[in-house]
Amino acid sequence: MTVGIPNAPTALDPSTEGSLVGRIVFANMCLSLYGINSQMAVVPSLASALPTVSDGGLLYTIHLRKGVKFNDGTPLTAQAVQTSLERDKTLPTSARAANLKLVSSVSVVNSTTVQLHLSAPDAPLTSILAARSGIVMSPTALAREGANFFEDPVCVGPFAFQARPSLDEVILTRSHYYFGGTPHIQTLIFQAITDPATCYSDLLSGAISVAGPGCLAPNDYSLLTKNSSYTTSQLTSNGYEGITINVSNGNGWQKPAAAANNPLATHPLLREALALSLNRQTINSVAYQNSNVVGCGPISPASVFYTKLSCPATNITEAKKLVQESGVPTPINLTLVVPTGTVNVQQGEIEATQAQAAGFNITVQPTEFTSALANAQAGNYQLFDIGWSGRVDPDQNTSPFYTQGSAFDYTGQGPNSIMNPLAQAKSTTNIATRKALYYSAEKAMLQYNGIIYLFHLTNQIAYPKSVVGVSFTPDGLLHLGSAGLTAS
Amino acid sequence: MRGYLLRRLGISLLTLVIASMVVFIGVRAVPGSPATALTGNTNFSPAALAAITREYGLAKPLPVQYLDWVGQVLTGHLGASPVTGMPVTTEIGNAFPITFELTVLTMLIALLLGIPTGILAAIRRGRTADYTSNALALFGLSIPSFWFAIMLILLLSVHFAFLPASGFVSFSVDPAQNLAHMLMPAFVLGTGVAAVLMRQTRSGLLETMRADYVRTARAKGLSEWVVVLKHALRNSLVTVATVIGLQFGILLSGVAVTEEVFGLPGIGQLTINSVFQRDYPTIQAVALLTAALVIIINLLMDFVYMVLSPKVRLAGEPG
Repeated sequence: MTVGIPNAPTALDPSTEGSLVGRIVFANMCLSLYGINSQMAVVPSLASALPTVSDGGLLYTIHLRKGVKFNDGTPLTAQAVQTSLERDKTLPTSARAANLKLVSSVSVVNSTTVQLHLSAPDAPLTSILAARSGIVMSPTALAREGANFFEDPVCVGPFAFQARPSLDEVILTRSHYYFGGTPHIQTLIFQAITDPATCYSDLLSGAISVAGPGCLAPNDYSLLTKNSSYTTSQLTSNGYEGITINVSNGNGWQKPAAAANNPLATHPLLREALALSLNRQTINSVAYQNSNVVGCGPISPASVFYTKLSCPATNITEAKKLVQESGVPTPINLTLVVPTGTVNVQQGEIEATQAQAAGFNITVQPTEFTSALANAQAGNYQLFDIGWSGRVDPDQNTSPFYTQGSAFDYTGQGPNSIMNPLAQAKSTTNIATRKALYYSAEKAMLQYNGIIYLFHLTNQIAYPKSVVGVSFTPDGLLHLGSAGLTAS
Repeated sequence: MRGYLLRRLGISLLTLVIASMVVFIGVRAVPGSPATALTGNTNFSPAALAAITREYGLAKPLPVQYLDWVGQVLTGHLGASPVTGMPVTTEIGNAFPITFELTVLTMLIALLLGIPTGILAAIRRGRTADYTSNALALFGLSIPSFWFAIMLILLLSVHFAFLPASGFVSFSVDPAQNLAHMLMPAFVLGTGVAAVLMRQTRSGLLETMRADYVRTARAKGLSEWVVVLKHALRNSLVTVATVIGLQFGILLSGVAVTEEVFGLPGIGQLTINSVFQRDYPTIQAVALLTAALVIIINLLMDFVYMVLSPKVRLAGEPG
């Protein structure tokens, strides 16, 4: 079975891997302590139950499933969990260290129980352990491979790593050690296909069995929904798409906040006017065939922390009035950076056209993604159309985007009206309390307009009817341990 | 002759050094670094980003980085990719045979299509065969390869299920499947190259056919085919050989779009991915390799000229 994915994963080391598609590959060969179910709830995976939180949120006790083996036959033990978590925390190039910052130490209680000692309460921790930070690596393979673990990664999962013959191809083979039973599929191949048109023709010709999230263009997906030979599925992600405005990232993300050289940075009224000039429904309809869910905050309707926000409707009259009140002469010239790609450019052009009615003259500048990212981090931009794939816990979809010093913070340091509720929500485990705090933060974001949220992205997959047993979760991951091909 | 060769080798080495410097500085002039590319989807801590920057020697001054890299190249170690962690030599070792095979098959198709139709068009000048060959050449030159590729996939893979749409199977694993996967991409590229070859062969041959020695051959009563194939064609192939050499170099440096459409993990795809990910060691190695290949091919073509044309051979000999 070959699965088309939109990019190639980076080195397949759970401690350092940083790509979205890497998560899809790991979901089939490297299970975490916890997982996400179809209702977006955190559920036990390698752990036997959700963690017991005690000592005012400073101690997490995790019990492991018994009789579980890694794909090299090594038993899963508490020591193995300790080794993996400590590697995640201490490896200099770790992509997980920031997420595990509040875990001060890991101790082994017995062979199936491990305890995490925290320096401060960290409500998102359980969901963090449901992602790459919770992957447990085989201590035998770690001892053998060391820093080269990515060359032959061994974890617990329905499939075991077999080979990576090229950057674009990862080959897995079914595991006979998997506690959930041996998969039907003998060989599972993840193939990077960066061109959506190629992904579509590959699916039609049978070159790939499943078009994974992000592989197909929205219009091709729309065609497949009308084709009775294919199964299509779309789920609202935790991510979002929005326009980030450079407000106080004048000197770059690693330097203290400074006002940006940009009329929107110094005139909050103009940011509000820009937000009021946009018609989210039109952008979603024209560029995305209505495949996304419009919204004006970072928390997705798919999340248990979602509270419906009252989004201001498009109001050109009010937008013009605000522009006039700001005293800035029109037209207000701005540059909007959009990542290259047909749909991205379409989105930018629609936004520019809509904003023109309020007095903004926006030049759309398609830019290769890494260049755009570098300029945004350095504060060399005015407006940036950028999305976020989303994480299960809302903290990871909010705090890093308003905290100066975070690589994701392109707008600059957020005001206290946003940061205070976010900080409180991070240290509170009660879901109702957190939900109320995030609602409060979202309302403040709506007033601040550092990021103008447009909609929540939808993950779409498609496969022929002959493929069965595909599990697709709202975190955008495909689980193929139970997948198979019917005789037809 | 020896002086000529030494001069050519010296120029080639200088070209290689200049090319390596241009690529080295060029990739670093583009905004972003390997560390930036990694932050697209993961919130690395500043400490981790600094560690990545240090690990790949990117914190050192530019001249030091360049000299480090030259030292690595001279010892055959091209470093590791910050994206995949794999040694660059392994990545290129995986990708290059695919591109090489695609290039050879493409040139084979181009030669088989381009040279005979070029000859036919020249000796049937102004007739149906000439017009048909020119029309086909125009088609080959003007149709974008990605569009042609998608049309062929829709026809041969989706509609008739005759050839696989994409992917690669190594020749050592399954020769038949390997050829099945390579046929369409080689044909797509081959038709474009064939069009150029056809036009060059036609114009070269028409020019040679007007030469005095060809008139003499005809006057001797030789048949038209003997005149064309034995006397005229060889001289007219000098310009065709130049085109073949240039096209070979272009194809070996990776045909990114065609490789992408057909899912072939060759040099073109490796280059594009490396540029997007700011994988400096891989970009530099690929650029150096392709520059070296183009230079070697040009040198080889110089020898081919000498074999094909007595005039070139004589000019190369000491006076």
